[in-house]
Parts: sequence; structure tokens; C-alpha cells
Amino acid sequence: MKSPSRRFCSGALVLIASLAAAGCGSSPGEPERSAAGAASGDKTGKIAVVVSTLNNPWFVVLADTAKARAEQLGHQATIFDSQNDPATEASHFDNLLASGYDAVLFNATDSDGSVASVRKAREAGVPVFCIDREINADDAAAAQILSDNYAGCVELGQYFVETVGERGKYAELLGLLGDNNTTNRSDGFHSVVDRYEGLEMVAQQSAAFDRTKAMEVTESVLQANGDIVAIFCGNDAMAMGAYQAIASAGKQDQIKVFGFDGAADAIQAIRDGKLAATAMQFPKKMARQAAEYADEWIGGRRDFPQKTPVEVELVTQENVEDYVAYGAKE
Amino acid sequence: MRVWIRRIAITAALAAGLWLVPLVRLVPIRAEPTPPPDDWDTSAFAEALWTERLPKAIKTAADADTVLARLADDPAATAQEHGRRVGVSRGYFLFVRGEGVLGPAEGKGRSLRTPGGRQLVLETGPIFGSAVRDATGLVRSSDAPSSREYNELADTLSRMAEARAAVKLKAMPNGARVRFAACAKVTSPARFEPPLAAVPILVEEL
Repeated sequence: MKSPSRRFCSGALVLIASLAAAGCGSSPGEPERSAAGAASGDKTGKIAVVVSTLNNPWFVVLADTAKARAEQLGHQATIFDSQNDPATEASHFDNLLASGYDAVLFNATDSDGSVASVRKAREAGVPVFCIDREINADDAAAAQILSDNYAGCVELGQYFVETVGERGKYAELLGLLGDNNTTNRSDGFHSVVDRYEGLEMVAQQSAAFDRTKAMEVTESVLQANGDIVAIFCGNDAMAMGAYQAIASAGKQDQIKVFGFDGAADAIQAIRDGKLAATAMQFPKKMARQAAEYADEWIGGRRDFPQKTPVEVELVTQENVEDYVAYGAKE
Repeated sequence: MRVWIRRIAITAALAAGLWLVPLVRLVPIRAEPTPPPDDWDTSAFAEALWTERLPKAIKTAADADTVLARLADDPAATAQEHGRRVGVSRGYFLFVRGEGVLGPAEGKGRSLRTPGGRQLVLETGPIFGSAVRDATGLVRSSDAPSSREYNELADTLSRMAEARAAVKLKAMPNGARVRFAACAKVTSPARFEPPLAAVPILVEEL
């Protein structure tokens, strides 16, 4: 029979061994919080949702969904609006790091400029999960959940050729120059359309993802090139602006307009025959995935894929009834 | 009683110390992605993939007849049984091999009838998309330095399929018996209608 003191020693050893094992599961080089955060999946925390702008409904959906999912998982969540200004964004990071947030769901204002804030958070042991906008660093964010813009525009480009034909003049409206989404969408589109020599791009201008600017740019494009048969726009807001200019010029039956995003008004415009097609991104899916990753981080998980691509789907008049704004019908 | 209090205090102190500074730190056993080399060359990577790794991978591709039969019956179940999804998506990729008899040119491809009576369209070009990069599972996004090179790789592999397999396919006579391997994407399982269009990566006349 064991003495009480031997029983105590055995119990103490088991307890100590369990506590020693609590430090397991993390990799070298991870933020310091990893050991402390490896307790259970029931842990809750404070999550910041830092979004590039709330001046565009698409980003409002992204931010609101991220916040709602984080709260549903038991966390406190707050939205910070960067107003498309990298300086405001950097100041949000300073504030949230000082306020003890446990994770950041982040929609960056600038692929290069936002890297410093993400690194600062990493050094402070706060994981950042990028949503929709890629940052140009693979060792800063805990994970990046991104629309596969390139593949989406490869598909859109093929539909463009199918509907416009293999000959004709067209224009392209680009988003924000320097933004990876702008480049990936344009590159994906051109990887298809440039194979057809008969398709000639007569104008390529930035309208900064903005509807009003797109209308103004399209007006000037039409003055110089009255014979274009199509316009490819890097987002739906620009597509709607371009359509407005085209309709004002009475050329809506001559020029086909293509967008990207899957915004509410674009889906309706496809249904009404005003837009030829768009590429549906899934902001709600991306936002939920980011919130779930943050929840898992707080619960102790660390092995996230650096990039999780989210498929983009082509929406045309043939399948528009399968979709609603910002997503597919469930 | 005091002895017990002292023992409990010592244990608690030890436990707190071990919590803060664990004696053992276990690192999960998993393959860490090898960072891409600084002198990344998309064409060289694609060439090595095509000539060295792809021929071996073809041996592991699913039987085309089996996949096509399942696909006609239940596209959603085919994703689970034979498909490969990349990231978060409803669409999925298929990697198949088999034999069949070539039919005439149809649009951008040649139709092919398998021994099981299933039909497939092998694309003759222009070939677009990432089916060759993504269907086989041989390439991870971390293999390329950035998404730009990763996208370039998809295009380069599609062009190789055009130049090395589709060109041969175009030149083959109607009724030719061929051995083939191909990569495909089922974009929308809910709306899928046969025949499946696939990018050929191997076509040999028997």
C-alpha cells in the first residue's frame, strides 16, 4: 500500500507533467502568445475588424459579416474604418495593439504599405488574418483569405470572347493602381483576350474602383472611341458608372459591359440586361473564414495555410437566378 | 498539516514555473513548405514538372470511365470520391486517364468515346485556366514566390498542354484509338451537363 506522501508525490508529478505539456504544440519563431493561447477551443477574446473603407457596400458586408461571425463564436468584436487612408489604418493598429486585442481581421488599404502594420502586430503577438486584399509579404500575416481574382477573370475573359466575338474594339477600366486585386483581375482577363488578335484595346484607364469616376472616364473614352463594342471594368461600381455613361450616349445596345464583385445593383443589372456579366466574389464566405481562423488561433491552432484562395464564380444572364447580392442562393 | 501546506505550495510553485517555462516543447510533425528559390523561373519549373513529375503522376490518375460514369450520375459525390478542391470553392478538379476512340472536331476540342461508352471532349485550344496546375495536386501556392508567378505557372502549363498534347490530338484521324491523360474543372456541380471538357496532357495513338 502506498503511503500518503508517495501518493501525493505521484499526483504532483502527474499535475506537473500535464502543466509541462501545456507548452506543447507551438513552433519556434511563433509569436509569444502561442504558449499561453494553447489552452482550449472555448477561449474567448477581443477581435478587431479593420476594414479599408465603409464607403462601399461591398466592404460593409465584409466587415459586418466578420464582426457578426466573431461575436457568434463568443468573442467581442469592433470594426475600425480606415477610410482608404493608410495613415488612419496605421493609427488603428497602434490603438488596437495598445488596447489588448487578441486578433485582427484585416482588409488592407495598400498591398505594400500595410505590411508594416501587420508586422508590428505580429511582433506584439497579435495575429492578423487578411481578408480580400493581399499584402505583399508571406511572413507577416497569420493567414490571408483571398478571392482568386486571376482565375475569376480568366473565366470572365473567356465569356467576354464568347459574347463579344473574336473581333472588335474595347476599353478597360482599372481599379486602384498598385493594388494587387487590380493587377490580378487585369492580368487574368488579358491572359485570355490577348490571344485573340482581332480584339483591340483602344483605352485602358484607372477609375479607382469608383462609380462617379468611371462614368467620367467612360464619357471621355466614348468621345474618342465611338465604335467600341465592350468595356471590361475591374469592379461592379465602375461597371455601373460605365453603363450610366453608355446609356446617356444611347449606346447601350452597342456596348457590352462586364464587371467584377457580385454587388446587389450589378446582379439586378444583369437580370435587367444592362450588364453582360460579373464575377461573384464571396465576401461573406471570406469574412466568416477569417473569423473562424481567429477563433481557432485563440483556441490554440497555429498551422494555418498562408493563403486560402476563395473561388470566384461567373454570373451571366443564364445563371443569374442562382445568385443573390454578395453570394449564391443557399 | 503544515507539511501538506508546504508540499502543496512547492507543487504550485513548480507548476507555475513549468507553465511559464515548459521543460519540453513539442513541435508538430508536418512538412514545412520549402520556400521558393530566389532565382525562380516559371518556365523552368513548368518544364521540370511536365517532363519529370507529371509522367509519374499520370499513373495515379483516376480511371476516366469510372469518373465519367459517376459524374453523369452524381456530380457532387464525384467531388468527394475523385475530385480535388483548392481553397474554398464549390467547383473541383479532376485528373483522369484512360483509352478511347477519337471523334471529329467539335468547337474547341475533339470528342472521345471511352470503352464504357462515355463521352469526353479533349480540348484542342486555345487552352485557359489552371486545370493542369491544380488537378494533379503536384503544385502548392507556396512553391511560387507570389501569386503573380503562381498564376503565370497556370498559364505556362496550359500553353504546354496546347503545344505538346493538343497539337498531336488535332492531327490524329477520326476513329483513332488513343491512350490519354487529362485535367478538368467542374465549375458548377449543380449545373454540370456532360460531356466533360478536359485539357489533354498526354495523347498517344494505340
